[in-house]
Amino acid sequence: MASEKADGGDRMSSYCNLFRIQWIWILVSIFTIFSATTFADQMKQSEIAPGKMGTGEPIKNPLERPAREKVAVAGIAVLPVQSGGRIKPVDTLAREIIHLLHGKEKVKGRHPVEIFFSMLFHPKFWESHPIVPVRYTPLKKDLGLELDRKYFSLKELRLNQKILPLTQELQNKEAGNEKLDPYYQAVSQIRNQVSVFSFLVSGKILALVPPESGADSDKWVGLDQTSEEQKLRFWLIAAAFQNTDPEQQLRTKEKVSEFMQMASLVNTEVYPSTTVMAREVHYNEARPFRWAWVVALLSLILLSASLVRDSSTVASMKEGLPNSTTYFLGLGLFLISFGLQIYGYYLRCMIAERPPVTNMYESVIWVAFGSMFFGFIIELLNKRRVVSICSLIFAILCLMISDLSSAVLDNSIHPLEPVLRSNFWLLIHVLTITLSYAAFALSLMLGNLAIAPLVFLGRTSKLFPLKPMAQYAYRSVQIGVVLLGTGTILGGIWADYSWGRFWGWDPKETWALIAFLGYIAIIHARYRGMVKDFGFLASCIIAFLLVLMAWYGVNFILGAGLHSYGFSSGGNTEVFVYSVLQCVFVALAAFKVRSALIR
Amino acid sequence: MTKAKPTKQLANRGLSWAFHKTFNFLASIELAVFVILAIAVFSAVGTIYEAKYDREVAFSIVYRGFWFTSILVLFMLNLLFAALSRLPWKRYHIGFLVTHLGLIILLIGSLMTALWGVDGNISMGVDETQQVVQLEEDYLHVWQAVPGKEYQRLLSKRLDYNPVSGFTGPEEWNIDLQDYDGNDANRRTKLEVLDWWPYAHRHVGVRQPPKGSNLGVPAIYFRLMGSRANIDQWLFLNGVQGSQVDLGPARIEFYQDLPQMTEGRDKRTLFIYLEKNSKGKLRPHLAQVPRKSIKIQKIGEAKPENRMLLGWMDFEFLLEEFHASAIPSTRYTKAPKGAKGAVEAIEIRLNSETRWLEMGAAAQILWDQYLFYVQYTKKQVPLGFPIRLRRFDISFYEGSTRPKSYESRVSVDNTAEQILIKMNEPLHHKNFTFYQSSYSMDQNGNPVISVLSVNRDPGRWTKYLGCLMLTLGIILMFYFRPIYSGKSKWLQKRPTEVTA
Repeated sequence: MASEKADGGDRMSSYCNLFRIQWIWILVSIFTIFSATTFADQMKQSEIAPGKMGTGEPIKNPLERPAREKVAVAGIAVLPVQSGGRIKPVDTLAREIIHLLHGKEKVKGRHPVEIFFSMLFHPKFWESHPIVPVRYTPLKKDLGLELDRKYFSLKELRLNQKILPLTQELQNKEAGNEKLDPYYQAVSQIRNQVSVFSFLVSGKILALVPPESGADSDKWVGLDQTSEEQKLRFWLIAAAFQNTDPEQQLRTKEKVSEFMQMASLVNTEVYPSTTVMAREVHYNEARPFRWAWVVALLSLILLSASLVRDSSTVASMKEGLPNSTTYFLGLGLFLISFGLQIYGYYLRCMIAERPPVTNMYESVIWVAFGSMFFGFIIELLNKRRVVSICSLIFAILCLMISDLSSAVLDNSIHPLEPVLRSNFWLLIHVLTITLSYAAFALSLMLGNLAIAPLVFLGRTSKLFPLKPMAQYAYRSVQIGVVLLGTGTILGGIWADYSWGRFWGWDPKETWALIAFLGYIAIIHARYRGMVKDFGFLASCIIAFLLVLMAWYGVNFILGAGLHSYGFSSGGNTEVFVYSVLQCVFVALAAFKVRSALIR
Repeated sequence: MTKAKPTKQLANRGLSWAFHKTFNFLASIELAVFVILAIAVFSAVGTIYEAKYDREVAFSIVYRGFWFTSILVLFMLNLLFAALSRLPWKRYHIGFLVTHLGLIILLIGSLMTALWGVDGNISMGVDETQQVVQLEEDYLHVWQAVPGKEYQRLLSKRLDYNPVSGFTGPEEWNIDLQDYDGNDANRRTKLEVLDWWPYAHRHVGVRQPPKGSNLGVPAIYFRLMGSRANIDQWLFLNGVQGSQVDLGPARIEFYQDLPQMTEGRDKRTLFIYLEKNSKGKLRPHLAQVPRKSIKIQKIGEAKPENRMLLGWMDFEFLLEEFHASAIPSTRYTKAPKGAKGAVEAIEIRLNSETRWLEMGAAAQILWDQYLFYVQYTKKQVPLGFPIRLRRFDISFYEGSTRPKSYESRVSVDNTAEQILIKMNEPLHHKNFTFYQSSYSMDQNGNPVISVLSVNRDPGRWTKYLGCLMLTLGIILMFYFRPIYSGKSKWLQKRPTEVTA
């Protein structure tokens, strides 16, 4: 016994030495993370091969010219345009369009607004320049596209002999309300890309001038139909912006405000102010949710370092209050990340004029927010760091996924479906239910962290002791059960109010109920002693798969029912693989527990 | 945890021993865990049925099925016995009791809704009046025409087929006929269901009338083609008043003779009328009137291979078929699951006459002197008052085709007052509540039919009470247990005891 203790102490002190130099680690990680923020754009830049422009005479490449001045881009970005049922700055429109065409917002590191206007004025070049990613191999084969090429030009896709019959078939499928398989999703993507590009080139997409007050339609007038004077004003902007002379480019802002002044005179009531447009541009540029995960990552590193160091001295664990600079610095960063998210929500709510409750992207970032919120509360109550670490890991994962997989999680802001409009209870029930997912996610992370040492080391770890972890997991499950129960009931009341039925076995509500029942079963089993600490943590992990089904599966896999405003596709394989891995993980841990008789 | 009450002495005493065993089992948490998980599994299966087929299927197979109902009964017993097993109740039981009694009340409320509630819908075109609510159950009714009386209902059968198991028939029922003329009492006949297709395509066509009968009428099948629409349509000439069809921008009217116009119509109108040709055969001719005009412009004889330019937009008229005497006949073919425009269709036989009927349709069948009326419909519940759709509007988000809201204006009780129903703003009238639920469009994308969901829920407030108790109870148990059980350190007089 005594020798064991001494051994342990030695090992611990060597850990201590390692963590004495944690500051180096912190600096290294800061550096890595800051370079990571731009890695998505950096990595993908070089992928477009020049050339492949067809056989005609060489078309002048606008990408060879120097990038527009930042001031010029900022000046033109705020120009209001009507699109997708709301008024947005041309910056947002350009981002959406370039993202649709190119799969990401930047082409060769150029700002989307610059590319957008370049497409408007050099349609021939952009039509034959390979910018459109076609990833789905079976479709590539059928279209006769080279498999090793990633990007194709709009022209070769549009003129492809085989795309036309496929589009016809797609239309039949859509007319029959059929659910599209990945093959036809890819066809539909190409069709949308081609049609959006022609819409852009024709200038129709730039609905820049509001209708006169009292007009029948609230549709803004596209550039193709505006008056000569309005066209001229727009050309003045374009002439300044497209000018190779930086001095001329700086005049863009002035020309834009002249245009806006003229356009606002047509109908002052509906024309937005520059401030409102600038706010949305700021939201697009500042990316508060990206910075939130970066800062959260730093906080995670500091808090983990603090946990590892403090647990090396047994005494400080018992004292309870960790009391080091690292800890407080980590906690401070935690709060900064939290604050960044609040700022992001504030901007997003102001732009959309509604709370963020409508699509998967918004619910993912909301769950990240919720898990950090509950993590922080439980952290304050026990100061053990494991809870805040768990919440950080989960929040970072959520924010990273929503930031980097914009193909699946659409982050653009759309107006609400009719059924969702102007209803207080709707907002409350959605926010409550998604908050409960956050609490369950916390128990999931606690479970995983607690049983990870069992799987990898074959024993429990002092860092993540089973008993207190199970206790925290129980606390978060409690929060989750209260929120999910209340949220589901509120949803029922809302459904009763707006459809006349309290409970209709709609898949979304049924899966929320199933998840609720899952956790209720676990709570009863724990109360009766049917599961102990390990069993409880393991069940938390498995039960979260039910939450995943209610949250993601109903909309992305089942795709049925009244909650159809959230349906989408993508990510099936990833979620399936995750679920299987998670089950294997728990099974391995259970096997280890059984053989080692750890309860 | 507190053990159930039976004392040791009572054990091993035959009946009472068995009783206590059962009681303990029914009150046990093990049973609770099993029942909760079973409900979860059944619900999950239900959602898969709903995704693969539809709501109706999920209901008939899972949620209203035998097994799920049994599990719910077991759940109810479990809750009840769990509460009883803790008698006499103590202070620390408050949270437990509120939660579990809340659940019992919630289940009772749901039962009330299932037994006495109405949850259906009404579809109405503008200026149409409805008196009944359509529910989801399918019914087959047989009526008999009896002279001097109204139609007499002979049979009403619920049909419980679903697309998962397919048609489980054939089924047959004997029908006692109503006494017709006092001489043939106790005559019977047989109604059979021969086949049922959950998804079928309807093909309208014609057949030749039986030789010597005068049942045939002139029938025309034409097509209107333009860059904005391509519509095909059958019209059958019904007596002197003719027959009409409204096709969005224009109206088509079919007459024996070219009508005399005395006042203008509110829409451009195309007339189809009949004229004898040189061989004495009836041929269809075309004429048209612009909107608000009485000036008829003759266009000429319609011939099958001849496209006729109508002069409004780029529409062309193409005659597909013309029959001087024909009987409308509808044919059905099996359609794939969820096909667009597919209908539910059933094949029935009354005596020796076989017919296909689609959902909502009826057939007249003549046998000897008896006239039957066979109706295949959804279950209908009378509202007790008429409801009339006055207007239906859709608004869109600015400059887009994304619907922002849709709303119906209706009148009830034959009054002129127009009441607005829109999303989240239902109409309450005489125990029923009307909600705007959806709409359907015509071929040109104009909204023509408004769908209201209609609901009566006697269990509503019971369910709400149950929910309130459930939520409160859970919060009490999780966060206020020390306080209501008298163990809170704030409520203790001597805090030193708490640490012990």
